[in-house]
Amino acid sequence: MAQQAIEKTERDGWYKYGVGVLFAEMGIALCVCGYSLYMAFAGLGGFPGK
Amino acid sequence: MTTHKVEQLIIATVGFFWCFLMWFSTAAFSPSIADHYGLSIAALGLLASSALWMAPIGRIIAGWAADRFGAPRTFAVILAVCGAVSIASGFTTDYTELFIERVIVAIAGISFVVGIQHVAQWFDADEIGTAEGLYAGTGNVGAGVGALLLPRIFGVDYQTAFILLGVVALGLAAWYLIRGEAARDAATSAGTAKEAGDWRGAVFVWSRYIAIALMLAYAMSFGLEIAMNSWLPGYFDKGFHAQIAALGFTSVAGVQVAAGTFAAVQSFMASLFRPFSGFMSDTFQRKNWTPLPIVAKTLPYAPRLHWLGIALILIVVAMLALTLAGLAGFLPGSIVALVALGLFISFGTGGTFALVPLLFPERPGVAAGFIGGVSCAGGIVYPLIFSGGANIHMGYAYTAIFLFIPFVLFFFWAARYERSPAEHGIGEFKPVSE
Repeated sequence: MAQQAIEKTERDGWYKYGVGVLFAEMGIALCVCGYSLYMAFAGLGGFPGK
Repeated sequence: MTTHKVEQLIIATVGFFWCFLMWFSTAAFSPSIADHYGLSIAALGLLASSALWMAPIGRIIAGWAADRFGAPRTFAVILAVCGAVSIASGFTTDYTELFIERVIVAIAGISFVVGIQHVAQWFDADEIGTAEGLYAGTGNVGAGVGALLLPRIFGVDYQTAFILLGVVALGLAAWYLIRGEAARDAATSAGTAKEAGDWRGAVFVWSRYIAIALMLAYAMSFGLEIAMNSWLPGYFDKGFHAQIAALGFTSVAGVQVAAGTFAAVQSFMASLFRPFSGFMSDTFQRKNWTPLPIVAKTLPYAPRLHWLGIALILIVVAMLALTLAGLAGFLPGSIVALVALGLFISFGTGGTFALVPLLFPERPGVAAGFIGGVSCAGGIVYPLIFSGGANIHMGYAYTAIFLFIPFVLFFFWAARYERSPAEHGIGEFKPVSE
């Protein structure tokens, strides 16, 4: 079953783009959180206002 | 009509994103609405909480409707009704009318289970985690985008925002109806509709131990996520007031911004890491990883059960860490625990809905409606526990020890069957088809 799943994933082209999108979303989450926390801990403001 | 499953995924995701944007648009403009109508703090709280009222029962009905009539028709009706009422609310001048209209617009939140059912009808078992994760995670961002962008684009002119949101929703309803296909083939669609025609099928799903375990797992994750969204700003304000003041935020508005920032971190992590959790569920499945004791190891989807079990344990650990950091008065430690909690919540939400369509393939909408609907009650219950103790930091530990650990133990118990866990439940109830 595991082998079948791997073959199926390799056959479907959409999957690699889907994984690309989800990694991009993770990157956005980390950037927004990192920037907001930096602003807050530096006393400069932060998400969601100034 | 020629279509592709990716097109169906995009339609569902865009529709859900817009529904979430409409769902939380009231909250985004609540200061402007309060100012316009001179609302008290109590009335403002009532307006904010109204967004959740329709979710539990509405999602149960929407899930069944998606199975019975197909996701495109059901989703289009939700978009059209919410869009039309949103437009009407933009022209309303009486607060009572506005309140009622915004409660109706909040029905948009029930669309989640319809899209889950739609995606489940199109994607294969080995890729369902990633597909459902992309749908739900990207759609959930609508809430954050609403909070972040709507007040900046429209300022205090919430009427124009409500009208434009409604107009776009009507356009999306037409798109969903024209391009949406209920399932990959007519046989799948007809089979699901036939199963939904038997009400005993719904009772069958509701009474299965594994469905109840997944509902509790989702209450531990999504229920906790929405509870935290409303609870955390106030928690940081009261629990870490001195530490926030030491950062330079001394005015009421400044403390609100800092507390809101710390709270938003959880929300962003929980939403945007959700697709990754679906991907991890797929990865567990491909690698056949089954590290936990007790939980079944030979079921076709057993590795996904193990991934969800790990996520639930991590949520308990993060909740206890949040209490410890709070008791120590250590703000950076509390933020680290919160980032971890957001991450683990996403593991739980993504892990749950990577399993639901596989456990109940004949009734994906009914199962999604039950699990995604009843679990929303967590958003109402947890803040009561958080605020009920003598010490504001202890609520997380109380919730983890007295609710979440029993939930996890029940999950392990319900997921232990090595053959057809859906056969085990309360009573011998079975639909006619079985």
